[in-house]
Amino acid sequence: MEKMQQIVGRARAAFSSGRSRPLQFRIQQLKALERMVQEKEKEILAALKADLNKSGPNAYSHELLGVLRELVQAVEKLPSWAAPHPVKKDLLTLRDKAYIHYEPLGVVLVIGAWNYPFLLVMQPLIGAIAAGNAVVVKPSEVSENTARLVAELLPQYLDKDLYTVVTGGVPETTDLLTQRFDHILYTGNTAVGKIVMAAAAKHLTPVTLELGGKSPCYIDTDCDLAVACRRITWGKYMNCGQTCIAPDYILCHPSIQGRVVENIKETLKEFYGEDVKSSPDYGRIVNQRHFKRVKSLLEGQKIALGGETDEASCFIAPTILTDVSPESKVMEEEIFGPVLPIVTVKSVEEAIEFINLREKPLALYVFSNNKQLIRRVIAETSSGGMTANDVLMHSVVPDLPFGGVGHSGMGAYLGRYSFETFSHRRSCLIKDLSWEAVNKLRYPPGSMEMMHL
Amino acid sequence: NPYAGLVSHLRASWLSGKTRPMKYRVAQLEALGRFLDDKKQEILEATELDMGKPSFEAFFSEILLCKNELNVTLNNLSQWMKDEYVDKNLVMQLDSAFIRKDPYGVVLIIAPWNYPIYLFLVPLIGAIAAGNCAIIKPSEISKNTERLVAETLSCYLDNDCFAVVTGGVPETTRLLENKFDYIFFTGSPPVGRIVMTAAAKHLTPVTLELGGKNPCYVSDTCDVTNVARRVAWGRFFNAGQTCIAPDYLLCTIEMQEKLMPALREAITEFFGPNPKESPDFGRIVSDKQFRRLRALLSSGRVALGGQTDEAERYIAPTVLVDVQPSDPIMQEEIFGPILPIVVIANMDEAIDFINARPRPLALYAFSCDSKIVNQVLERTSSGGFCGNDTLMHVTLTSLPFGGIGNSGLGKYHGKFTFDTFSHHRGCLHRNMGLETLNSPRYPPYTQQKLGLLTTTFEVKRRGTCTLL
Repeated sequence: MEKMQQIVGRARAAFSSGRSRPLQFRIQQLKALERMVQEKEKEILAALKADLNKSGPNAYSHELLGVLRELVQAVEKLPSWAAPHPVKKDLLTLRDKAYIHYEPLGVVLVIGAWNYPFLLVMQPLIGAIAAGNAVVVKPSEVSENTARLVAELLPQYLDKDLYTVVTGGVPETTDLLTQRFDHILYTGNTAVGKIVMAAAAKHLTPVTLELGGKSPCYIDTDCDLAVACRRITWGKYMNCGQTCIAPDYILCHPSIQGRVVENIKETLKEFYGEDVKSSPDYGRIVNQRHFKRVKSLLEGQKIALGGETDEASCFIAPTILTDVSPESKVMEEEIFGPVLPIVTVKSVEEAIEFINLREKPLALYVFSNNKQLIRRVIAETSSGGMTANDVLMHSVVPDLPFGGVGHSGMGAYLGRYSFETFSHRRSCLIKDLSWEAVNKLRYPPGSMEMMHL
Repeated sequence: NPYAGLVSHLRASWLSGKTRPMKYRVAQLEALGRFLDDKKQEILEATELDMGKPSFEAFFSEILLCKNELNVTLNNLSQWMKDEYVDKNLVMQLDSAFIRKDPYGVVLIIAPWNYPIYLFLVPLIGAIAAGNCAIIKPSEISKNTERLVAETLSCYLDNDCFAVVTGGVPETTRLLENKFDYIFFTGSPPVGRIVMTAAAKHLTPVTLELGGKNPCYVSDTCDVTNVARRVAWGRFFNAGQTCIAPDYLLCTIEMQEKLMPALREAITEFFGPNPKESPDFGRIVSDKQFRRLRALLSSGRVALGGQTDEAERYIAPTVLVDVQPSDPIMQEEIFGPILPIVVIANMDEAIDFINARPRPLALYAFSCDSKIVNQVLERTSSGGFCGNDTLMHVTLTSLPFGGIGNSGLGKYHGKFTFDTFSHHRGCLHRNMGLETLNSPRYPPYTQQKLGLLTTTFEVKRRGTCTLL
């Protein structure tokens, strides 16, 4: 408890010194981060390989590329993001200055997740630094190699007092959450999201919660099935299914279920070769606990493809389940593994109803040549974000906010949205001390004639 | 749970999709406008009974400002509802990327007693505009207004989608056990914590409009008469029961000497020689609040006013001097017609005083020298800021209104209310063709493919150097 108090106290003192305010300072820190990613590329890739068996080009494109993009964007756009935004004035304020003044919040806490362990601490960190805050970073202990590396590297490149890394598990995080922060950004699961928000409530700390859920994927009978299945295969089995916005399950008409399986099977061969287990591009489940959890979802299911597992290496083959019952275990929780259930529905109406009976997901996917159908699915459902005719890609459009809704989260970040999440938008109205005549209208003694003006 | 039935009824209406079409939302908003027009007299009477709210003030805040928000919303709704298209990068030129504004579902609006119509109606405007269903929980302390709203609002709004719930702390506690899709709360920080803790159980996002002690710094270079008027107006409006009222004054002893006669003159100008007889000065809302405020009068020394009348819950417009930071009146938000003056030596001391305390909802600085106003702004933090006036920054609908730290989280007014009650959903509609463009992303992963990806995602910075 005391240790956390000291850490946060030091960050707060550093913030109060005011040195993170000037844009020049923030840009200098961001550029240092950029150097870190470039100079320590080998070490970062090695940590990701150790934690999740991610191969070089894979790890680079899924984690480092995203981080570099955020950095480039922040450095370029910061002056325009941070500039005061004048607002439209009305009759009473014509002669005044009215604008929104962007200010840092203070000391913010970033809690990362283990599935994209580098990306998910770095992207929020970049936004928090850009907005002028002091930051405490708590990487996930499950991806321990990346956590250790982040704890080693950040102090080598960044201001040590303003930006701190705290490592540890549940007890350390619980301790940390008793401290007062000015914003908390948490990436992880729904259950812990509730704990984080409850802890934040004690201090009236605003939160951004990037959680998860079961992201549905509806495949219409009117679509290019080969293309759709290739894109779905890519998004589903990337990182061995451990992606918060992966298509969790498929909804489609029973008449195309067989072809969906065939197409995915072909694509899997194309991606990972005949022997998936020996492909350098196919990942592993992060640990034994999750391995057992995902494996248990296969019980009693009709396995149309895959199903092989190897506990020693936490390997689960790309798997498809067909004719899945909505009441089964695999349809209750977010799968977060390379298991793809197909639930058959007779129509898009049935699909929409199925989706709306469940908690709002983080992502939603629909594949169709029919624009009207796509518009309808968007209009009649809700989700954090969505992509039509592809998967995952809405999360890389620079100007789209990335976040959940309902059980999949609250708030959003990435790009400009990170900057806004970690800033206070202070309304400013600056009037003249003269020109009192206009004010007389509002002073007592009042009269009904005045009111009608 | 006594409210489970009501909440699920509203949720069923929500799922039916009835609140989605713009036509429906406009019809409900227009009905709210008719409510304000038809019930104007009743609103003025109810708020007068509740806290002696002067008709002029009631008309200004409960009718005029509300109508303003309604008109801004009706004028801009179609624009606000539209999908917002965003820039795309190289690979997505044939796709469309946009932000969709989705309603949340069933929202809860909890309002306090001091501006009892405004503080539920303005959030409700945004909730309806964004396509939600809503439960409104007015304050039981302003009981006449509560009764008016409970009895008449249902004659104007669709009862399948909007409901009013009345009651006190036990009822509100039970109401909060239900799952809502958004909670908008205006009130005190302690209750704000309770609301957010209840919301956390369902992962319900919240906006909390709370309070604090709003400092008012008056520099030595200023037009004393105008400062006195603007500060007095802001402090004594609604008998001081305003979340953004200037709570206490910070100035030098020299300025205090100059301000005293100016404040006396302003108070007399506004309320006459005996404010108790003025129809333009309000009363304290309850006996409990009256007694709390009366006790605070013992802080420092009464320089102006100080008279009280328990039967009428009247406290005269009062200015206290010789106030110490440790005095009771400096420990809580005053929320009454008492203005303590805390003497400081200079601006730096004033700024340090402000920064040593929780961040307020509003902050005021008065000076003829714009550099001083700017310095106070730059070196402090608050929900909002107004230079050379009080309260006015919240009447401009293009400025977001909200707190920071203990004074709250989230913001509203104008478009910000609409945004508060809508989920901004990132949407990407891709082309099913051009599959070859996607091939660099697929396994087997190679360095060559990686090079292609890096180029197409434009990671290299444009230009060779960035000058600040």
